[in-house]
Amino acid sequence: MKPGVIKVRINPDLCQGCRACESVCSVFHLGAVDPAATGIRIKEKKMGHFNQTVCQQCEDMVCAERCPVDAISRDAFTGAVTISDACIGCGKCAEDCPIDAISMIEVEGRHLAFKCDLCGGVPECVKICPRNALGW
Amino acid sequence: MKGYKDCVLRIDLTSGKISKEKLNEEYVKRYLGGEGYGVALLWDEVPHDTEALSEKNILSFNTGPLTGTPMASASRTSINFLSPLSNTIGSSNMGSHFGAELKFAGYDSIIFQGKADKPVIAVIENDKVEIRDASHLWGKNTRETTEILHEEVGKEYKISCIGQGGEMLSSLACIFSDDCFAGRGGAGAVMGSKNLKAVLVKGNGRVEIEDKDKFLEINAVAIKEIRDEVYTWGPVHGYGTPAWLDGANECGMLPTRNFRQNYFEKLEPLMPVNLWNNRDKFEVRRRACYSCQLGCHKYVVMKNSDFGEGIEVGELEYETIAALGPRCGVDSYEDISMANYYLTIYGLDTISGGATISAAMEWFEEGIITKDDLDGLELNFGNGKAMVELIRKMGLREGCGDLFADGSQVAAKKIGGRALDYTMTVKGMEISATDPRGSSAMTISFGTSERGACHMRPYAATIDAFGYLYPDLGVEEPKDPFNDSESKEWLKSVKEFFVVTNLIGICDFNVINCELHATTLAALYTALTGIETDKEELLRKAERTIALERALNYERGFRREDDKLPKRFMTEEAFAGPPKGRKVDMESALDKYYEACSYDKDKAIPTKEKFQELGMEDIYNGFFVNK
Repeated sequence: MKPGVIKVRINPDLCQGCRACESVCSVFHLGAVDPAATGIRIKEKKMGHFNQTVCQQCEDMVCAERCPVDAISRDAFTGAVTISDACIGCGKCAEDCPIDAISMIEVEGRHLAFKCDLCGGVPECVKICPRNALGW
Repeated sequence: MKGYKDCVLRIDLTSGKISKEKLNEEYVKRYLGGEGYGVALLWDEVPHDTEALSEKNILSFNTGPLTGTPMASASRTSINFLSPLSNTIGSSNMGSHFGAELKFAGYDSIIFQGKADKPVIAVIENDKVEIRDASHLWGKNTRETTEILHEEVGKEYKISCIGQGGEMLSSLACIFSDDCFAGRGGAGAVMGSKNLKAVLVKGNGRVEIEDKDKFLEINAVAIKEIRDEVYTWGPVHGYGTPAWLDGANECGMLPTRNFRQNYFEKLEPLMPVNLWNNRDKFEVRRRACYSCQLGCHKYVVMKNSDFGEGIEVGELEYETIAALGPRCGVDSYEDISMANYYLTIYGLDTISGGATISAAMEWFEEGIITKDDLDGLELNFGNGKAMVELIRKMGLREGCGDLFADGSQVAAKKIGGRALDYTMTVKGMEISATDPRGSSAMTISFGTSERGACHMRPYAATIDAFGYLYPDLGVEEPKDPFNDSESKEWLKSVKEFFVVTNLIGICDFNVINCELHATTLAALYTALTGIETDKEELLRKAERTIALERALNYERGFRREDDKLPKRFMTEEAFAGPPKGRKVDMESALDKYYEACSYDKDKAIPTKEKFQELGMEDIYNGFFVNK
């Protein structure tokens, strides 16, 4: 895995664990707050210290290689690794992601892989983060 | 009705019956949700003369429609019950991640009724709800309980629980959720009286939004309004609520030595910088509630002190510091931290806890109680070590602690004599950390608060004492903090807006420095739920909630007399600062406020016409006591 250059950057020391990023991510992408479908995930490892998981937009794209239907590719405009509508929800990309940044979600009865796509330009999570723990 | 989950969980602890029901649409139409929903439940389901600790009382956890969304600090849960401390309606409000998780699990509210025959916990995972035995948790403190439960069921569960304070039915007991508290009014005692040790919630459902694009657009505006307020986004964002200490002191509003003074001369060691930057002694970590922009919540560890090493003090707030510090004449963060630690683990309200100690200190100095009554403690003002020891005893009802465990009013009645002259309470609840002599609006806030002296209904000193304006709510000119005969028309809408935050599920700190506009909030609510709502309607829903609370208090025997502050504020002059020499003119202040709200001046409830105007004739007609 070789992390990409354009991605959501994190300063874990500043994170206050409010999960506003998770919340706004699912609203922006799915139109509802859905704790199971977020491109960024915050977990408390010990009191007041938080782990953040978000796609690193890797240069070598392990997920894209595993995809049987070639649904994963790099967006030429944003530089994000994105999943297209062709996704069949097999879950292979999620299995192979080295940092577990892809979640499997259910939308209207369809299983789909879901990950950070940088919101097509300026990530919503970066905008809402009150502590500037997220950058881009 | 998107935004709401349209599902209420009802748990009867007596029979063990668990049922689900739809939201009562009439309640939503009238009172919106949250606190309003909880109070409506109390009015309709509980006999109005019920004893707070009897099993007929209900305890409901009510989220608002915004709880669990990306709106700033959309984390709040209102907990409603009849209060054992004040005997009025009980309405506590807490943050943490509990409320959001409850929404994700699929519920707007949980109602607990009846009483379990042995200690139990309620475990909720989406639609799977269980009542489990909790005998092994009884007698454990809040931290231990949370830790044991996390080990048993997994860390993903969000937990609300009580400590020994709640188990032993202390009227000061609060509900603890991840170092946030539903603090005031004795919610913990009600939970303890039902033998309910903890509520655990885990969920992975959705909160639907009607118009996503509109919602995100207005949400960004709301967040910008909060970030544009200099004080909020400066000191408060940085230090949390202790940032108010200095301002309150300089304005002559910091209660000192049980309100003998209104200015603390030794505040310097308590300035927030001495907590945050004293890295040899304290480690301070931020731990915000769900989706909070402000992030005032923090987690303090006292690394070394006379009391031991690595003490997990938890949250230190303005109110806590003020109650345990200046109010008791204590100027050491070590003592305050340790007292806060005991209050946290035993699950007692820090405001009432500190206030009770300060009353006890004055009794001691006045010779009303002696060393013999206090197990040998020299309880002079400023004796931090004695304060810590008494608080520890209070939490466990050990020795002399038993006398104080139900608050200063109960203790004063037991002691008798002049003791009652020194209890700084309204309706039995201790006044929080603002001296009403420094702010005429706070005179009204404390006096007329429906749940007893409360700093959040509204915290209006921002406007009259600090000089903020709130054009969106009609406050376009500075108000005089020292004139009790001035019209209080403006206070009505400010109070209503504070109550709106409890109904809708966001934190008061979004409005305390006049940041968030009611217009923006109404638009956000419309985008979320699809129910067309404007500012006036939003405030009206709060007005109805307040009217209902007043009606219920009226049924329980509360009248104008009970809306008055303790005599000290009317008879003793303020000691220093801008309000120096000022006394409170309670009668004029009440008259002005009742006029503004169209209340009957003796009964202290809205007039019949007002009830009609609010569409609440049924409430007026439903009174059992004489009208």
